[in-house]
Amino acid sequence: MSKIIVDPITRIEGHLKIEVVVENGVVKDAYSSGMMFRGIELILRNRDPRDAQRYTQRICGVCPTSHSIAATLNLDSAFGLADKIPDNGRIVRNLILGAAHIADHILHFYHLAALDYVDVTKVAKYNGNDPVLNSVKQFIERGELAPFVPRNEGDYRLSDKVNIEATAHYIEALEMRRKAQEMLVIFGGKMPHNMAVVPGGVTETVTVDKIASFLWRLNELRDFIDNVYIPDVLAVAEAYPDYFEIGAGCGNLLSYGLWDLEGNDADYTKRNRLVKQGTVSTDLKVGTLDPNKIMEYVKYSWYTNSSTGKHPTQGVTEPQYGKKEAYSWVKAPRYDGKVYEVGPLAGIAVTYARGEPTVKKLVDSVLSKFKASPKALFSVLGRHAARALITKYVADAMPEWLLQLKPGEPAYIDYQIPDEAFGMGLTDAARGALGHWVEIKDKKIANYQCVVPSTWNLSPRDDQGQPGPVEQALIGTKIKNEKNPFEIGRIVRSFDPCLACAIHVITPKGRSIGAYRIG
Amino acid sequence: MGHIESARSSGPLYQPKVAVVGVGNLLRGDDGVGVHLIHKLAEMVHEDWVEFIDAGTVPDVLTLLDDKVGRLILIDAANAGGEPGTIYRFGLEDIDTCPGMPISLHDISFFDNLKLVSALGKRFESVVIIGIEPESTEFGLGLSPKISAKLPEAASLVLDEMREFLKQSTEVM
Repeated sequence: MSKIIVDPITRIEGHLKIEVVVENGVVKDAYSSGMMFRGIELILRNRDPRDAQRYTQRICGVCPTSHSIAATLNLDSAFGLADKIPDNGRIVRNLILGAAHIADHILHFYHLAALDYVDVTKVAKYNGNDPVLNSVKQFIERGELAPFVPRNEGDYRLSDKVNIEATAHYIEALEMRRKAQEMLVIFGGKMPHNMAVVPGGVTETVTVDKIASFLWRLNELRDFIDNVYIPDVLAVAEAYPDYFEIGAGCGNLLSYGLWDLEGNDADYTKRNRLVKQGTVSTDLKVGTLDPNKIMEYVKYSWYTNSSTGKHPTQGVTEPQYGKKEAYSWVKAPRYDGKVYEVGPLAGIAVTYARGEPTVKKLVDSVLSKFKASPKALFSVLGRHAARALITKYVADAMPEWLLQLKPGEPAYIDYQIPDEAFGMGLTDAARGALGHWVEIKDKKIANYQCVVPSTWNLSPRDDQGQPGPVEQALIGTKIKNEKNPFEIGRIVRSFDPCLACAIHVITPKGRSIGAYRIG
Repeated sequence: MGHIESARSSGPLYQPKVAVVGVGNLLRGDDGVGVHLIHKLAEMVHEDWVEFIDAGTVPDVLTLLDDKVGRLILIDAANAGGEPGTIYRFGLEDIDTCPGMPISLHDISFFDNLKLVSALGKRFESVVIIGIEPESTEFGLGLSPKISAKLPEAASLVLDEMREFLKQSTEVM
């Protein structure tokens, strides 16, 4: 029996740590530990409720835009505005969030996940004239592109030609990401940490120029998604078909849905969204979303046991570091007492199981290409495919949204902050279900809670001893080479994990600090 | 420029030559020192050859920079072992830029981003890092008094770096 610890990063405090116990080449047990997501409620208490949009964006360096949307939906609902947002406001929010998701998914695939499958060092064999490929070739020869270099020696299966092509796409993806971010800036005002999404709508006015400027970038992105991103994901899937059977996980998926297609139903769990709300399991039976079924458990987290089994609105954060059996700062959220995975796979699977025709066609075409059943979606490749398909799904929906905008008409409605109110904001972030809850007293925040996607996916065991989604995806996996257990990295990265509140402190190399001191 | 904006939202005639980027988490006390300093500088300086960017917790903003940016000044909290409030000046060669393989997008740092954009052909004439030793990075808004008291000095050091670059580039022109 051996214990493998994937604890890769030293520069970020509170990163994810995965501990895996391997016996006879099979993962027998897995423990996912993460840092505490504490403090947001303390920071926001007694502040103007509108500060929530500004501050919660700073929780996350990867999906600030999703937090701005969740916080704003939360405040809309607390202020009694959820069904009164002008269509321009609703649509501009969708466009901002859509741009963020496109940028994010492209980044995740090319700059994090693809290197698990694409061997960029093969670019050394490149003899052509492409200046970008030659530049990458030089970088790799000099070792400068580390840590973006291969990590799974011994299991790279693509041909040299495909490896070289994918490396060129890796660079092109940076440019595409820039275009998606620029698209976000057109309506969001700035990137990162947009200022435009506010309770009541958005602060940006809609003009024909902005629509046109958005559209030409969107067209380029759609071209990239259709002709580069999706084909690359499929090429990986063709070469690594066993990954349709690896990393299945807990088999239950939860989606809050996202991108509001209508604004006149105040209930976020019921309103029509592009990506649908609900739950789905391997049998493809759909369940209705009921946020009251969400509870957080802490038996295996460093919090006092008295705070276990509470709904986020009743959530208590009482740290007890070193508690017996506990191994994570992450609580274990459960839905209806069961383990649920969140993320693009959940969004796609719920929308598919609800029979939405566009998603049905997209998913079926991928499944039929691999002669696979929908069950194959519950896998490492299923997650990557779902991420690519959701990117296409939203990018293809956006041109129509642009046409629905009415230049010159309001995108914002005025409001009063109530003396006392409760609010709830639900959306899917790029990594899955994101919920914000607020209680207002005397026009100030009395309590604020966020349950973020990675709390679901990276959660430790719950009070019943059920392992979290990533833990379940790891347990039972066959490890080909214990010295280089690439299966583990591939499984964990397929979840696109995200841990909050990383500190970005830089650390100099080990030289005398006197040499740097200037003040 | 009167307020802080990200790159490329400022119109075609705007041609910055220095980008000052503040990185840090405003929710974690002194970790946010780079962001606090950026806001202070943006109130002090209104020149069209300098661009201030509040990168917050999103260090991958470099692809959005204007192509005319020659010098990059990064302001961040730095754990270098000195007394809290100590101000450091680093070059890229002083920073450990490749600590391991990323497992999450959170692990892709400002420096990784710098490598990626250089693969795109984007190179800066110089990159300077101004680091400030934090006292506390616990959850909470605002800087500790010791760090806050250092902001004027840190600001004037950044201004010196900006002027120095301007002097060099005018000499060349």
